[in-house]
Amino acid sequence: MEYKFKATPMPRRNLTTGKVMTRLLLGLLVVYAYGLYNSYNIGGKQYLVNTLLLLLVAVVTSIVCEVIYALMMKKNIGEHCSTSFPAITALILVLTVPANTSLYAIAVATVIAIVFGKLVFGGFGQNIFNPAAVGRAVIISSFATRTAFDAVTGATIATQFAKMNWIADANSYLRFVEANGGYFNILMGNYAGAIGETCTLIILAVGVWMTIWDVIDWRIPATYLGLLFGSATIAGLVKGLGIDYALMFVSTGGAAFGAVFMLTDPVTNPQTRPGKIVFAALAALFTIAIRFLGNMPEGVVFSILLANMISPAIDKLFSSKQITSHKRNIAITLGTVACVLLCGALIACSVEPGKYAVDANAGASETVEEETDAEAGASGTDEEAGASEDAGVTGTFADTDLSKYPAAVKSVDGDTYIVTAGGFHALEGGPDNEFEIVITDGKVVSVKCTVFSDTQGVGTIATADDALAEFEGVSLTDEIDAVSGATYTSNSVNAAVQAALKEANK
Amino acid sequence: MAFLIGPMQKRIRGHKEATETNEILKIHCDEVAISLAIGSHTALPCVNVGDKVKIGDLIGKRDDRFYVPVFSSVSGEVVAIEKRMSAGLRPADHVIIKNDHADRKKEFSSISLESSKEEIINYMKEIGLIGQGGAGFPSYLKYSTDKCETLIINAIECEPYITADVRNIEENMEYFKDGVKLLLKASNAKKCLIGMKFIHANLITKLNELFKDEENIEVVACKDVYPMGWERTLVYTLLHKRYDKLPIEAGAIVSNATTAITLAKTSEKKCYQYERIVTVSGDNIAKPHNVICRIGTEIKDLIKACGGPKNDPAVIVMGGPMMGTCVTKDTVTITPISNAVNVFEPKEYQEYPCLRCGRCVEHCPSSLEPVTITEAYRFNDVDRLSTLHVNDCVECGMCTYICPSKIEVTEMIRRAKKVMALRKK
Repeated sequence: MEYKFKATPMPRRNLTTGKVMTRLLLGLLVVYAYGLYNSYNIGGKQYLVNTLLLLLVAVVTSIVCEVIYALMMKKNIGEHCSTSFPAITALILVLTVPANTSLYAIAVATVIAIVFGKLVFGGFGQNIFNPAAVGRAVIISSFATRTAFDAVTGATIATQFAKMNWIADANSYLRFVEANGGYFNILMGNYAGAIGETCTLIILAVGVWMTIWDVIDWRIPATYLGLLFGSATIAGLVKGLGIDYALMFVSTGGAAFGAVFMLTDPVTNPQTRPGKIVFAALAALFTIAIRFLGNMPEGVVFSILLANMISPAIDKLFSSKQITSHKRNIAITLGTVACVLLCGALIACSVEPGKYAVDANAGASETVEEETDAEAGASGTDEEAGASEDAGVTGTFADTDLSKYPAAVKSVDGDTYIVTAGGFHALEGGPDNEFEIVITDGKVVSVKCTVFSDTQGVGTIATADDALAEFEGVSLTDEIDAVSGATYTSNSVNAAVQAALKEANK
Repeated sequence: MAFLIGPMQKRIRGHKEATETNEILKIHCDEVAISLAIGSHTALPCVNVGDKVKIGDLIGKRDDRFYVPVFSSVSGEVVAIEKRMSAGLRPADHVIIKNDHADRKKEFSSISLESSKEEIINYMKEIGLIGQGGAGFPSYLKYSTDKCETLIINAIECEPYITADVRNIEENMEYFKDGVKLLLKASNAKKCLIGMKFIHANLITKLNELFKDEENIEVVACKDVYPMGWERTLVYTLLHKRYDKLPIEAGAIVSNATTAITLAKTSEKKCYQYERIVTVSGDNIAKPHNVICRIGTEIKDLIKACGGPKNDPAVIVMGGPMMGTCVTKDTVTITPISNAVNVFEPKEYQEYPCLRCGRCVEHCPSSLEPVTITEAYRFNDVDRLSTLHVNDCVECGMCTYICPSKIEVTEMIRRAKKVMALRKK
């Protein structure tokens, strides 16, 4: 009988890193599945296919990178890939980009994420920054306006919110929420945005599931989202927006997704519990600061990278026997959380509330925004938003230049005018929208949309009955604000009404 | 506390059912090899080859400031004194005695409940009583204090597979009762707490019945977690106190249940306790059993009595599977502090890179940072190691157990401790 040497302990826990990663992958796939559904809702088949292709391209690219690295380092390829988990990074990266991101952009971002985010540090477990966040940051800062293969029909909630400086006066705020379908709709994520970040409810549910399965430490998302919520609650109460403003602040943009899937990456956050809480608190502070004070529309990705950078220092701060330094650790942790809450609230309160307006009459300056993709706001977006506001309140409806949206009266039957008007798709040579407009004494009585060929979901906001009802009583001499959300489509309606009124006034 | 530090413990599957209820085997042997290694010291032999010895005759003693005697567990003739591998993985002198099966015994004195504290402590010294939980600390040193407020009897047995203590209590209820009372007297404490895992509900009921007349002795049911039986964890669980070096700083003395039984039995029978109960278990043994054998029996006899290993190759662990030491020779012998021999399959686990997830930090019962120690050891960063309280590690094995990346964390820390020890010299 042969007796071998093996260092004790003999029993091992069943949980392996492979299992942890598989569970994480499953969680991410749930979010991705919702992302597929949402992409289809926003952009139809084209978006759905692109979302699928994005994942395929990202995963293949990431594996190719790992294989080349393994060959260069003369490692066993199979072993290297099975302990390096490239697919996780690829999937997280895909979930942080909008559904209309071009495939080459995701490929480049994946290479950057895997190679410069992970492999140059020595591979999985050695990286300082969250690889997916590195890739995402590259998309935001390097590609800016060119990531999308088409122009998004309208801004996402996050960019709308960012245009209002993330805090609006009470009236604008209510209109903003209403325009986006109310709180439940926003929590459910029925709007355009990054593939994985829209549905806060699903993200949180997956987060709870992953906590139960010992994949993530709930302290990190709880601290991070709690502090965002807390600061926003104080600001909301001070500015008279109510507590629900905090809910909007947390559930729009990538905050929930970043908190649950990116901040919790164990490799890039501190190893002690107090460290993890301080880390999440600082990340929350960075997010609040970037959202309110920075000129980027969304701050989650950069705040994650900044917090990652501080993580080793936090580890050093708490590196001692945890029992003996317990009181000190409690003091530091509570102190940091309280400071962040206070600073966050002060920053939020110090910002001038913006007005809610995505203006149809803005003309040239609008087009810049329209080409800007979901999160990739180029600097200066704020000023342009301000400028378009001003443009909106001058001039009459008759003077508004809508020549980009060619409208033609097809037929007149008594007071009823059938008008076709180019919408967003018409710009690309697609079919026109068609409206039925009733006019008596130079004033609009009713507007009905009979043929709608713009993007479902976004464009429909502008052609909903409520929105069309706003045209009642409008004459050529009135000033007019367009309906929010879908600029192309609302311009299309405007053009149609303008043409019908001009016809009636002949 | 757990919120910011972590649980510092973990439920580990006990596998105790294998040896909890079946019969206790008795092993006879023709020759014993009694190890003179006591803890980290080695006693000097005081018999010569050819000497005739009785059970309880002194065959060796420690020569440093602590007096610890080593007695013969059989009657017969000393046939050799040779260096062998001891259970603590150190080569040490072993006195090999041929058993004549006559079982002539040297008569010991006895004590009773009327004896004074000093008398009991002297008796402990005389009979060479050492802590039988595994550390082997001389009991008389432990009890030579008057600061003790609480006596804690450790019947937790938190290591998986081992049932020796619990079976021993079951078999020797009356001795256990007397032993606890003697220890209580020796400690001069006001009360005594007996810690036992709640899973032994039947035994707890029996013990409550046994101690129902003793107002100052209480049986406390503890959580089924590892390492509940570690002194510090047990003291914190029962008294909510932490201490720096010895439990007496928290006003407590902790003794193992088997120690209490041995003390009472020796006094009652006026004879050296030449046998002990050992659990032979593990996932690679044919018929797991508790066995009673002489001190000095080679473990191959125990393994053979339990049907031998199921598969070849096998790994033998002296003691519990978490903290025990792996021995590669089956000629290692049973000492008074050996409570188990476990046989395992040498399982290989796929190792992943360290995630730095901090699970080892959260679960470390000493609240150290195994991940940082491992990192510092890998980079041979002695300065960093010296700030990480490496020597507070008791090698409980929790970090290796919990590590999702299956890294041999405990083994690295053991090596780091050796590096630090060499540096001190």
